[in-house]
Amino acid sequence: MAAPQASAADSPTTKELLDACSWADLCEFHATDYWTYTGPKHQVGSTAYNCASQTNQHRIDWADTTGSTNTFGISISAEYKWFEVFTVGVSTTYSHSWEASHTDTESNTVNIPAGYKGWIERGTSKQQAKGWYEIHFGKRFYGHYIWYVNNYQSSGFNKDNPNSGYVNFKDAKMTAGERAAHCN
Amino acid sequence: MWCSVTSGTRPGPRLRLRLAAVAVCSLVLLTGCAAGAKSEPDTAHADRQGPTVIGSDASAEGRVTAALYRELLTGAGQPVRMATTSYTSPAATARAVVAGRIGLAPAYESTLLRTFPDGGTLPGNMPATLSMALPMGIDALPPAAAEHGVVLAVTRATARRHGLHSLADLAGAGRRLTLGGSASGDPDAPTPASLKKAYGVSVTGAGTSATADVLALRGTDPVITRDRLVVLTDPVGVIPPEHVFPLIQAPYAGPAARKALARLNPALTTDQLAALASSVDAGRSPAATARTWLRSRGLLG
Repeated sequence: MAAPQASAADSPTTKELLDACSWADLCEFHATDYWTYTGPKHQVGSTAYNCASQTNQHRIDWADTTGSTNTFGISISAEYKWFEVFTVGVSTTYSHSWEASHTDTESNTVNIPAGYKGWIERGTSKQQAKGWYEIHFGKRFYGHYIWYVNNYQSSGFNKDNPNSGYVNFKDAKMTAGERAAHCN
Repeated sequence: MWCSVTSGTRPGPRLRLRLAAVAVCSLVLLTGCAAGAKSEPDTAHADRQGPTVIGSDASAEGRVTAALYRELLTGAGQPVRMATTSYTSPAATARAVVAGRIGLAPAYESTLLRTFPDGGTLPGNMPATLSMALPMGIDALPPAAAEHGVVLAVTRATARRHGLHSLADLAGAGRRLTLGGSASGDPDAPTPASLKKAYGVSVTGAGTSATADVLALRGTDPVITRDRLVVLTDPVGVIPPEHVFPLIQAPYAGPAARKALARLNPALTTDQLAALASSVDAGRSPAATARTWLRSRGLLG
């Protein structure tokens, strides 16, 4: 890939700089911070409705995909060189591996009381890293040989400690509308 | 004038941001400035301005390490020049790199972390800790084998008499030994309390006495070789690591410079650095000392 032509007055976008990692002379990610956390609760799988007159077991199949995101809103793919540079930087610095996207698939059997609905909530085990990119160019890129992308912050699935999140079964009494929609 | 450093979504220590701002502003100053990417507040540019200016403190060790860097970079076709003044300490030299007054200097791991203490720490992971301590635009390149840190040493007679090889062996000494030496006041030097905690040994502090049983010395102190002292190993790691490494402004850390400087790392051991510093202390010029040593090891054409 050839370096885009640009006048010295132009400035690259963050994405242009990150994309340049694939052909620049040197591209490094310097990690400055790392932490793990539990992601926001969200429902996985569909809601099950128990229309019977006794508690019943229901199987809920679910698949939940956790993508990597960043604070710049730039989409992430494992094929991007700058993402590879990021994962190498985090792995080298903190010994944590990173995936562009991770999918968990499970089946859970839940007991739902009569007249109730049941569903599964998940808080995914996640990790976050922050740092800066250093990119060197053999020829001027937008007028300069060295560019930085600062405050790059990305979150993704915590592959090294997947069980630190949670999967909870929840239930609640069906509303009249839900009963009408699902039990007739 | 534009400087691109902004706060992130997760506020970091104020000092770190300030240092980052200083570093980037310095780089922009060096470039003579240019129109910045105002719509992209998290991008910044910097270009090398002239040769890599190499600085050091006034110690023989600092000067000869800086000379090694100069010879290697020159040999790799990189334009370099030595700073006209020396700095008062390795910490002051590191601050000069971060502030943009010089482009490259020998730095020491634990000294650097004491100089820039606001980063996170990962015990046992020095590269990560250095990465978190330094602002944007400043690189800690891989370290040499050589350590500038404190060591504990005993005379051969004392080692033989008490069967001493490691700091743990001090527990088996037949009597309570004294701890002194010229580096005993160093912040990295083990104290009787830290030795007790780490190894369960009891020693008596003797200030900087050169006649103490156990001597705290710089690992590059020529007295170690001259008096054939036995350096005790530190399996628990009570003494923090203090490898020497190139602290460099990113614009001067292109692939050619990194490759050239990395050649030094396996060859420059603590003993070798001590010998080089000793030669400079004896009156030989750092440049000649560095050149001869590099050539003798095939590191310079």
